[in-house]
Amino acid sequence: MRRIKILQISLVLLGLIFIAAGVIMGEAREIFEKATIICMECIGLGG
Amino acid sequence: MGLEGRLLAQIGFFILQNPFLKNFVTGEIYRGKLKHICTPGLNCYACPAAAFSCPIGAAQMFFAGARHSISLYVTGFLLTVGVIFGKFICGFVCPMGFLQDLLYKIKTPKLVTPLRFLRYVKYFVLVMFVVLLPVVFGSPMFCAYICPSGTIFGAVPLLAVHNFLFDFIGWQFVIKAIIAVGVLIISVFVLRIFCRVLCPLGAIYSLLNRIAIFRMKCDEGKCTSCKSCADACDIMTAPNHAECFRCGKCVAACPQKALSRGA
Repeated sequence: MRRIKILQISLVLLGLIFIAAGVIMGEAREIFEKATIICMECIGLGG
Repeated sequence: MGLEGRLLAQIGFFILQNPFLKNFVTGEIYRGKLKHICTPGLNCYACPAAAFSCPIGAAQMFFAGARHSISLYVTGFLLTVGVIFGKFICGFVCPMGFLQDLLYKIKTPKLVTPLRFLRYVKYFVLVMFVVLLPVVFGSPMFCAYICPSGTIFGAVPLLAVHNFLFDFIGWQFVIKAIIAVGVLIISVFVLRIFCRVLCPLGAIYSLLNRIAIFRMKCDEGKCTSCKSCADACDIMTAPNHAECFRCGKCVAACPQKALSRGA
């Protein structure tokens, strides 16, 4: 049980580090730019 | 929380993720700052009402992009959410799961099946359509050819308002429409067919479900291993199985009151 707790906490911390690194690298902005246009390809209406 | 409580939670999370309902009339999509943030459920960012970004759409954007890279932001988000909540997200938060649950409430004979082999298809979809094919073809292949969320919540409302979009309909959309209609029809008879067979987001949460912090708790002192929990389950799994989306039917069915949701 203790091993699972350590694994859970480690993975959550790793995830949070990844999120922070992604934000610093500008990935959230790239997602924003994609998500604020109607992506025709994404809804199956061709590229 | 009982089964009615889950329904209320699903309605609440649906509205929270899709608050801009008037956009269904105007045919616009929300372009505010919230779209920097991913939502935990499969909620197409082309849906006019959507406030957040779909993590599967975002992940494919990076795989298909010029750098063909994995997104640390999306990976970290899915890892964090998956380890904390597991498939609770599917059961309570995801709009596509909510839609299928509503369809399953239609009074018809039901096919209760564990989908023992078909449930592995979603891992193939994750690897092929979300990762490998976007890298090879530079296109978000799951969104483009499969995702019924994009068809139902994105394409259909936009087509209803913008007639010129009909000019863009081709065989790609026909494939997506067939999948979406198939999912909607089968969902009346089989619980959450899309989540269990095709959803790549469900595949990720399934992988993390067994170690998720938020889970079904079993009081070993009370449990008599009578299997009432598995018998009551609409997808024929045990609590905390990789497919268990924490619906809580087992909690209500347990004669010993040994089960509860919790961390």
